[in-house]
Amino acid sequence: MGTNGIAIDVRQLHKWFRNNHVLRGVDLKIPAGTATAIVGGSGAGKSVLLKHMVGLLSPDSGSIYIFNQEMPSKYSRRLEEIRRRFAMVFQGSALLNSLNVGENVGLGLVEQGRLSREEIDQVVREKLALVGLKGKESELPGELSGGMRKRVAIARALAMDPEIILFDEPTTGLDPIMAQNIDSLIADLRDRLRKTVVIVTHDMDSAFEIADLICMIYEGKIVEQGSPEAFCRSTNPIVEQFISRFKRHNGERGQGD
Amino acid sequence: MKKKTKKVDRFFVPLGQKLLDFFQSVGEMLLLLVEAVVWCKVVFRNLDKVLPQMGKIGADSLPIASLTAIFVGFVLALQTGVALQQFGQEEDLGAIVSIGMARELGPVLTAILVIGRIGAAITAEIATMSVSEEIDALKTLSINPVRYLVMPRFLACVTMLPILVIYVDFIGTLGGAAVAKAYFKVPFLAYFDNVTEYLTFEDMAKGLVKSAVFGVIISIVSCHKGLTTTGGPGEVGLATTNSVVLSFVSVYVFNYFVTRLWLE
Repeated sequence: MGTNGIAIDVRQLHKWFRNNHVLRGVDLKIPAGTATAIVGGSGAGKSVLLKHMVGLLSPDSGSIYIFNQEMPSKYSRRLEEIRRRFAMVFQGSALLNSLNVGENVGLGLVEQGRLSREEIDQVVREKLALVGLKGKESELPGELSGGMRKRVAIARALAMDPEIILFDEPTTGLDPIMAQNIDSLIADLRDRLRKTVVIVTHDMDSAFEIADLICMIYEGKIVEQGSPEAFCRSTNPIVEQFISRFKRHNGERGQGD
Repeated sequence: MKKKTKKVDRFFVPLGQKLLDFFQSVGEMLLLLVEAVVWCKVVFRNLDKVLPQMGKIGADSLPIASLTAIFVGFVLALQTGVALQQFGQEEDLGAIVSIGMARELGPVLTAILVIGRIGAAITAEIATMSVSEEIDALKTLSINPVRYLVMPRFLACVTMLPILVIYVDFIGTLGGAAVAKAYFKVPFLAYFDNVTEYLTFEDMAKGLVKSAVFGVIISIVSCHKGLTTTGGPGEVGLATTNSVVLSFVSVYVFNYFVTRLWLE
């Protein structure tokens, strides 16, 4: 494809919200077919960066390339085409409350109008089974638990058969068992379906579990990136501070074994 | 000198910001209107979204519209009837009530009704979707929010408001007839003869055109306020209040100027 295996290429990205300089020159290359975790504290600009990748926000300066195609800054047919390669799982799941689970999962396909009703129903059943929610089609989002809603959101993302899936804080607000479930589901997507996965999180357990590449964003810049092992060994004081609690936990666990 | 500049700044900077925000909103609303009109080209593929909205705005508003119309008809006949009685002109009640309803009261009252019942609901619904990232989710599913959310509401408002107005005019005139008969002893036949003699098609048509434009204003203001909401539940409430107030003001101002234009 001539993309050198790079799915998303962010170059010198800057973003202001009124007087707040949120992203201050982000450079980031996300390899295709891998899972990349973007970690950082609250308000570091993680979600803002993620929203730029799918064109929900447009950069004030800098550019983003998706498989070597530049992301247009205005709404256009090309932006629609690029967006079709993406799916995003939002922090609060963002299911449409007026539609039931099945309609939510099939929404993108119904609106596209390419498949017949039966084919769409088939895809919906398949994707719900994949996330462990077989037969929940007719329930309303309001009747589901947080973890189930998140899994419906993942099914909805998968229904569009995207190449890249973005996760905004997939395990935040979930109990440890459900978080573990979601983590293995995401790892599965990368291993079995060969999707490019980008996860924004501050849950280091989750990042080390899934990611092939971990990037740390601090004050609007990428301050460290590398494999989980390299990330763990980083001597960058910001990174050390961020993962010290995780290391301590793991150390204790190691001694206990 | 420097202190003085600062005082001046404190007055003019926020004022300038407010003005800029205002013109930006107006521009965005006009763009939203153009976009909504353009998306109307795919209305037949989106009837599943348009028809329920029409039902909500039209059929579901009938009970409250009936109640409003009949009481306005009653009171209009009552107030003018007392004055007309002094001159022995009670038989002109038909003309006054029907023309009053067709030209002004029908369109404006229906607009107020729809702002309260529908405009507020549109803003609250879309604003909630905005703050819970549902609008963003639609975009990532390659669904244009203007096609999916705005166009059906726009079309429903523009078509259903005039239809509601015809109904309100009719019920209001009936209400007038009832009071004319009960209090001023004007027979139904004389009342309706008077209506048909004085009420022109032009009166009706002008009222309907007005109400269609009110439909445009209400739908675009409500959708725009909803789509531009950011933050949390508090902002949803604020956006709804703002949307209702702005719709009211726009309807009043537009109504006055159009009426003046037509009278010239």
